[in-house]
Amino acid sequence: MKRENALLITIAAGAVCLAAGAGWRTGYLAHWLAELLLIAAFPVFVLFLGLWWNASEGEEDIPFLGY
Amino acid sequence: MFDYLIFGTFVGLLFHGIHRKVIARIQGRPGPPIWQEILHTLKFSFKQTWIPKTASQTLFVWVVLVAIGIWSAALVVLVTRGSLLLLFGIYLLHKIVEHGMGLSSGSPYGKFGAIRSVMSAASELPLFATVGAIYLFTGSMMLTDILAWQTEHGPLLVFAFPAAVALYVVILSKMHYSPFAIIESKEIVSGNMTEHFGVWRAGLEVAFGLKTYVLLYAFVLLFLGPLPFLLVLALMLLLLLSLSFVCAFSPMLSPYDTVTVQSLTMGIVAVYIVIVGVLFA
Repeated sequence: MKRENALLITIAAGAVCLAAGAGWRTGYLAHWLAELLLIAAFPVFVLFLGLWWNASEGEEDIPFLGY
Repeated sequence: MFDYLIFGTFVGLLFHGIHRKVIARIQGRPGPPIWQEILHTLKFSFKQTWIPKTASQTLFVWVVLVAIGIWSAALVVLVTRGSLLLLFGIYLLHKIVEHGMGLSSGSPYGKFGAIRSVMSAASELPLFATVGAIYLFTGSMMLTDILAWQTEHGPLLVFAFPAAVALYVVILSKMHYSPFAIIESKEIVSGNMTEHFGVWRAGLEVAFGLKTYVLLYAFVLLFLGPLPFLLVLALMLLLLLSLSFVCAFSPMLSPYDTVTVQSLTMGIVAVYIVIVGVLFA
């Protein structure tokens, strides 16, 4: 996965989590909807945060070839 | 609500670290620092990640998302004081996650772990007993009602002690290094988690951190009633320490012994429920 794509998905999922949390607290979103959004978006946020950290930046390591 | 999930994840992982530390100190080893499991999770996030050639690619990745999703949902149920049945349903879904995790990898070790996960379905039986006993006393499955009942009558730990023991056995079954943790025992490498490495393992660590937090939190809420949050955290820690002692002193049971002990627990609590049911009738 490209690093930029992983970052975009992380930001989008994080934004949904924050919006759902804020909507839940302020009452702008129905509780069931806010909870559903949060439960759907949180796993995506966690996984893509890792994939973003993990994604290569184009310059690969030189593999160790042994002595 | 997002902050609850982040908090639950970090406290759950910290609890895992404390669990390892306590076991190590009891066994005369220095053990890792208590924040080691948090570092592990971060470390796995930076490790090279791919999907094994033999794996079922979709299931291999989805099972991680589902694992985090179901324990996030469980925490939401607890925080919003929802239905105990939902919590019970989520716990059963975790069994499917364990099974899917092992089978999706294509590794023989993973498959052994998955098969052991099915065999140890008996670990869910004491949960039936707990839910049944709580309903008999409180007449409701809603956490709000259960907490209200305890405010009025006192902690359920006193009234339904065998049910508390049953839930304790359930939580013990799900702890790392527990005598019942046959799905991840070392003779099958890491069991059903063997092939999940890198980001996938980091995701699973987050899910398992949340799981530990939710199970300990549920025990305190269900059997000790509504308490100030800091006291709840302290009681969760005490409960964890007792579980660590059991894990440190008990060898890993064989799969058949695991099923026997869990079924016996269920049987004893079932007899207790029948007696209580007759008395209430």
